[in-house]
Amino acid sequence: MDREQFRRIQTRRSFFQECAGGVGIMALAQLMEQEGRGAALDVNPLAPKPPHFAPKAKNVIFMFMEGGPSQIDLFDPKPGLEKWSGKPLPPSMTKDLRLAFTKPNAAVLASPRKFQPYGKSGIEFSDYIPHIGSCADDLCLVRSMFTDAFNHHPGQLLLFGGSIQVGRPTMGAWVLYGLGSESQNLPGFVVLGSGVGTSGGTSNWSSGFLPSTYRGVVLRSSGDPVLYLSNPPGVTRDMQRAELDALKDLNQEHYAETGDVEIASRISSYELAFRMQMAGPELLDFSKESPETLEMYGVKDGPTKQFATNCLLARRMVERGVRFVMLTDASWDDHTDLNRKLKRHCDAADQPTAALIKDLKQRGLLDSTLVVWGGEFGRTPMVEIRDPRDENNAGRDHHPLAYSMFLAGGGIRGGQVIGKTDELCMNVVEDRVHVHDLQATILHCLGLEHTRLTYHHMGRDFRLTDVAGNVVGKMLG
Amino acid sequence: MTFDAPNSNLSCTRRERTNTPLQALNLMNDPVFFEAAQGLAYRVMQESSGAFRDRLNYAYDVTLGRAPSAHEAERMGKYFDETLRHLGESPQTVSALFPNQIAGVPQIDAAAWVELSRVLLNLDEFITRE
Repeated sequence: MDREQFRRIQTRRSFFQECAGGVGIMALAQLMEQEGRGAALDVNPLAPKPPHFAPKAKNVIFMFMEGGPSQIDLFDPKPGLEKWSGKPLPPSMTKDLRLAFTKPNAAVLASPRKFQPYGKSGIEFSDYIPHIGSCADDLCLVRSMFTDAFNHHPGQLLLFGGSIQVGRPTMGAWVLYGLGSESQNLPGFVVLGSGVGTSGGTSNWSSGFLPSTYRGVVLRSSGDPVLYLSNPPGVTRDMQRAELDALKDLNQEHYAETGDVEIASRISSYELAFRMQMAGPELLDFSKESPETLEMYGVKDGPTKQFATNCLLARRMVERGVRFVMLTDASWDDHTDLNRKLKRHCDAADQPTAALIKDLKQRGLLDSTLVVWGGEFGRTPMVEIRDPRDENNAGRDHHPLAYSMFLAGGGIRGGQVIGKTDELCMNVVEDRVHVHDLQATILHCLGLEHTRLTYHHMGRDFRLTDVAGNVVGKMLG
Repeated sequence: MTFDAPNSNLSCTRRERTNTPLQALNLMNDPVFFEAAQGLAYRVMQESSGAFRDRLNYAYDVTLGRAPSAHEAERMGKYFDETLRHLGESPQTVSALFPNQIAGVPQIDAAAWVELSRVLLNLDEFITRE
């Protein structure tokens, strides 16, 4: 057997190529059918596509506060906790409680935070987030979120992928698949991180079983956000273009032989990379931003610097047509030393969050940009003391049964509170909003009917909201 | 981070499939990969005879373990001519691409082979385990 023969029988792609009937061609035909396109090879999977109905929002900025911010200390004042402070919860609340490692008999921990009403709407926010409070009239605060997952990674998978299992496409990937990208020169789904990194990691912006071209592109959080934007020495832009033309032709030939859609993704990612070499430096250059803008975000220095830089980049990306921007800030998982740690997170995130909302608004972009802020779950009304020798070290545990998130902008009615929790913030008592309902609502704002945004895989149609989810009409403007 | 290598201290239940423009920028422009292209060009110049088709066959053999098809050879030939033309228009780029001298090989040819090597090293067939 010579090397050619050996190669032919031993490679994965050759298998597709050589199979009787051509499995590869079948796979390709299926893809083309799903994409609603003819069998042309030179398809652009990122071309803009019409939504299902007229949208309010064109872009999304999802500010993901990883770890579970404490709703009791930020968004959902519970003076009722004072009465119970230091005592266990009433048995009526704990008898059916099944939470993996939370101790149901732990003492209740009242919040030392002071709340005050903001704006015309008078929504109350805590003294740790005065800047967010100042946006009250633009915010739809949902105090009645709940989720199925008790721990971080499953919670994040449910929030972004609609299922606690790994392997599903995530929200940004679904949106890009559904609507395509308005930006020719930047990726349609970009992820910017600050802090220590999320426990869900890449699975939070995965394309799952969708083609990998819909996956989130992660920019670096320190130093240059994008590396290797310059050509190697001696390579002019014309030469780089000629190289890419040759590369594209040869890759396309290989694609035609094998029908592997990942080759099509590769071709489009190289073409996008070439355009990013021009658009990237322009995006990252803040020199044309006014001193007032830089000041408002807190880009220059101090605790806000990293998150503020990401927020400002998010606005600049939305201006340039990036469909879905995900800002992850980690970690708000304050099991210990809650007061001090929560203050630190808020000192970093409060001002830039508010600056982004105000900046979008003053530029007329808030109407077409949906902003979402929150974590994968909330925190318990009960105390968690990991080190009994140090009572000042008190924190709160994971709480999936009741927590808060807020939304603003495209399609959302601001200045309102959705839902209510009980006196102790143990359970939701009014207008329960499941994670799937949130997802359905986000897609609705973008003009997508969540039950119709599907992808056929492993014998059935999959969607972001799995087999659940209802649009929350009260949230909509 | 760009290629999503999992943390080797933790179990990885699923390795994400990725294909981002950041990877393309890395493979095209990172000095390490550029030097690899220079190294491949040097090797092709040293280890194959002077004819273009011989060099191309050798370069394909080294990178992809096969010979180029007629159509591939034609496309690469066209690209080689195009690159020579570009280099002729801006001769100062030649030594930046290929700073060494090889006896009997015009430097501009070697520089053009750096560009051909960059194409080969960025082919999906080269990057992906087939």
